[in-house]
Amino acid sequence: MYNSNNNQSWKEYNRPWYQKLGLAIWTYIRNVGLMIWSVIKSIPFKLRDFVFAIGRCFQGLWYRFQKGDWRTRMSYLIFGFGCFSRSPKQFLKGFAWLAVEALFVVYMVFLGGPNLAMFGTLGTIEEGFDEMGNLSAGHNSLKILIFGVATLMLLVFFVYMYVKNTKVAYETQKRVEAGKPLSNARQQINYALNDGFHVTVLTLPIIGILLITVLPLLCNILIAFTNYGYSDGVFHSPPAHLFTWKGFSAFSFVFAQSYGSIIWRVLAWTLIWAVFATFTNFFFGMFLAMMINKKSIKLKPLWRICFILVIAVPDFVTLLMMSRFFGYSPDVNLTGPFNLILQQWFGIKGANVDWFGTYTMNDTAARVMVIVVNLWRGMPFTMLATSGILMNIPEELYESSRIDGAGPIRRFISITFPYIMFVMGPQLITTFTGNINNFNVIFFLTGGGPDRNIDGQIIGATDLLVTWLYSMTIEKQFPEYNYGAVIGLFTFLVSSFFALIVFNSSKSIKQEDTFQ
Amino acid sequence: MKKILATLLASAMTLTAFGGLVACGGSTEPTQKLGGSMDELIVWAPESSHGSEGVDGYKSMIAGFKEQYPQYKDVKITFQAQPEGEVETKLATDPAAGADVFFFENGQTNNMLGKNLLQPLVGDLSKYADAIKARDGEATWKGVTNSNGQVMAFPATNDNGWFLWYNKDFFTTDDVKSLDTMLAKAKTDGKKIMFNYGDGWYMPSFWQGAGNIMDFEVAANGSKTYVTDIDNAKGKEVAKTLATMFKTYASGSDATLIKPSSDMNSEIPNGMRAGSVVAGFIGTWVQNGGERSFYNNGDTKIPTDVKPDWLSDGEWAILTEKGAKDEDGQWKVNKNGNIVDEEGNEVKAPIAGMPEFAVPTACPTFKVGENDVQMGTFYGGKYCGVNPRRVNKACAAAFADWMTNENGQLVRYTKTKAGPTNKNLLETNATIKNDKALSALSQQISLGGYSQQSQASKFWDSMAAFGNALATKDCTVEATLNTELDNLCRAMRLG
Repeated sequence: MYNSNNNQSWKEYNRPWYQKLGLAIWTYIRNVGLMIWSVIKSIPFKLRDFVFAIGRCFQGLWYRFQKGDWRTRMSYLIFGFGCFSRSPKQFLKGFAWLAVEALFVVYMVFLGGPNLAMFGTLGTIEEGFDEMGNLSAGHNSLKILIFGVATLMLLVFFVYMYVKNTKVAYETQKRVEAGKPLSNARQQINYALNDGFHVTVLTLPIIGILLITVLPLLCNILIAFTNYGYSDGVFHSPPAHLFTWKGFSAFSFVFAQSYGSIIWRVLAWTLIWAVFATFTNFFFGMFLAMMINKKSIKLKPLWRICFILVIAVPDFVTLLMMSRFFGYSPDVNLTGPFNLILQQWFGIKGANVDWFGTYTMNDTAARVMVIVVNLWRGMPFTMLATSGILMNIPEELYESSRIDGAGPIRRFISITFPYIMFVMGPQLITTFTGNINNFNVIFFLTGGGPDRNIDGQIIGATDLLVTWLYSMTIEKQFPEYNYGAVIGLFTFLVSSFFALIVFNSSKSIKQEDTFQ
Repeated sequence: MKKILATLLASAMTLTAFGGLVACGGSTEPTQKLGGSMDELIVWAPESSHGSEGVDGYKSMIAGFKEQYPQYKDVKITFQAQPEGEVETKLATDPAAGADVFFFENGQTNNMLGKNLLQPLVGDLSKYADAIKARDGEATWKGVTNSNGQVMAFPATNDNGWFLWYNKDFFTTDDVKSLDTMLAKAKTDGKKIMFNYGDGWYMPSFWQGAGNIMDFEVAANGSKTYVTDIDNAKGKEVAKTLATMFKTYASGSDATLIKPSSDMNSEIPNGMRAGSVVAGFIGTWVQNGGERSFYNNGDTKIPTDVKPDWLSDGEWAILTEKGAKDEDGQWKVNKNGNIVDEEGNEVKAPIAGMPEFAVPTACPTFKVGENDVQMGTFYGGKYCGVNPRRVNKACAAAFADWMTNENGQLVRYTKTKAGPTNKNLLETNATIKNDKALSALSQQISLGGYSQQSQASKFWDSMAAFGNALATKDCTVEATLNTELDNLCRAMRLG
């Protein structure tokens, strides 16, 4: 992959700074590309390994069945039989295995089985009123979906336990055949609390993670393949109605049919917004910190506190206040405070501007304003972080550069900026991913507006993927959960692409470190 | 010991996750789970920004209800403020956990029926259906009847709909017959007319008046298709007229025809009072803004000699005229800390509603080619529904009936000026008969009313977008107008 020797030439000191920067960015992007490619390349091999592992698993199952005596073979039906039938010492272990099987059977009979049976249709009986006005019950497709997925996960776990159980039975048989003593209950507990402690203590949390993280994620993905939501004049949602599998129709609706003409617009604006929101905050925050950090500036703590106050007030309060502050109406008596200030305090007669552009449908104004307000709101965070870094840059570096005749711009490019980037680089990219999903700023300032009708679909000029997702699913009379799930998946892919870059950047920092 | 503790902690963590999952299990035979309890009743009623609207009035009816129905005297009735327009979405999130009784807008009826959110008044409850049919007009109770002929809700008001309020010192009664005249006259004087063209409830007015249709058509097999003809020859003619009208009057920063920037309920009365707005299109609900008391305690002591900043001149005049003083020369207050008059009644000042010189009347006509076309309006009312997913249905239905009978509608009218549906009340009550806003509404409905059924999912947003486009793009260019109209129809026909 990356070989530092090949690139030795561009690192020479006498290269102009823009070439170095350009090459650094290019190398960075290339490294990310190579990393992603290497992951993709390894997928077929990983798949092959996975299939082989499963094959070996069944091979072992058959092998142990052939070699095993009747007690071991009974374990294939009754968990733990190979343990508790051999010696009273193994009662605890054997019955623990039996308990696993019993619990599984009970779960499957009362909960898993019925739900899994309806997993193919997601329910058949629909709710309705009888003649006496009583509401009869119907199937709940969402519950069936969730329990179906949970049962499938449990099924995989059970297969694992099944194989493990036969292994334990066979090992016990070998131990008896070799004349070795079997462990008693005390030893088994000791094992669980000492050598096997990691298994004991981690099993339960892993189950917890599966239930509260993996399960909802899987269900979310599966909803993208259903008609859960409003379509054809019916709200396909429990409790009143069923929903069912619809294959890739939601995907084709979002990417090709109705939403196809707007999703790329939304994505483009999302990325433009993320770039501007991230870099304006970063650079302006940095310059602000440098200004306050200057020796000649008096009352430094006061200035810092002034800006930090913005952080102290909850986000939505300041944002809502801003959206009202820059309000607009063509009627001077009803216009927003900022316009009134311009007119009455500064005497500018005709000053009545639709700052956010939501009234006059001015897309550019809306986009510029959300970026500017976001700058005001986000700058103090960068200022705070950069102030700390600035104070830690050794003064000797500046002194010697002065002796060498470096001006302020050269000092910034060669000393200050590299120092700041060294610390803030990875954070910058995290902020970028954060801005892709920056719901608050857009929602409270413009609500995604100004709204336009593009080929029969309504979309706001400042709508990000996530605010669009919100308007399509929450607090709407006609929620479209399946399309929402598709958009959610898409947003996840876009964000994770940038998250991957962050992942890679820790390495690139190490390489940067070597040439500084 | 530590290890055992760690193991226990880990198990506890997992068990909670498991417990939650197992608790809501299921089998192939579905069972209906009902919410609520037999000794409590939760009621959702609206509360507007200018004083408590429905809630206060309805609360005063609890005592009478318990007297009438002694079997429910131990039921605890709780009111929760809930805007009628949001009831459907709010209730649909978890119906069993919602209210037992709720007020909602008629436009939500079809959707709520589709989500099984309304209890049909059949079986034991059929006596209420009979009562509704007896006390309300046929058009009203047909609105709450489903396709099987079952009555699904209790009609509470028929105030949904809007008309014209105008400044009688500015316009003559002849002026307000034609929108074109009004706009021209307002433009000459640099005045504004407020019409919420950025809202799908107002914007369709022009097509409704022209007789275009915008509705679901239900086939015999129950499948629904959305039908609209606003892009036929007549509809296009209307759109063209609108394009010219909006270009002349609604575009630019010196526009005459303006929409509210955030809250029309306050902007129209405020603009009227300021004199800059000379007409506004809005309903009955703005005519009175409620009342306020004067709280005089602790830090908010009101001086007796000088007017404090936070009181308006009008409020100060009422206070100095009516307020009583005690021996120390201070304001006399009751136990709540509110200033009282000599008889011990709280001094109250009206909160700004529509000013005196604002007069309600039916919407004007506008010229399409050579013809005068009447502006239309969606109309309908507020209904009271009973939640079928709560156990205390009998009591809930009885209370819903109590709140929407003749007396209940009178209480709501007195509090909020919401027009009643009750035949008897409409015919015999002198105040209601002389209510100018109500007669303006009924006049408007008879001239160009469009019964508000549930609309296509993209209807409201796309209508708003169309109105905004008219005001901000030059739609007199035929291609631009055609694209906008085409997009509007496409959005609506998605259903």
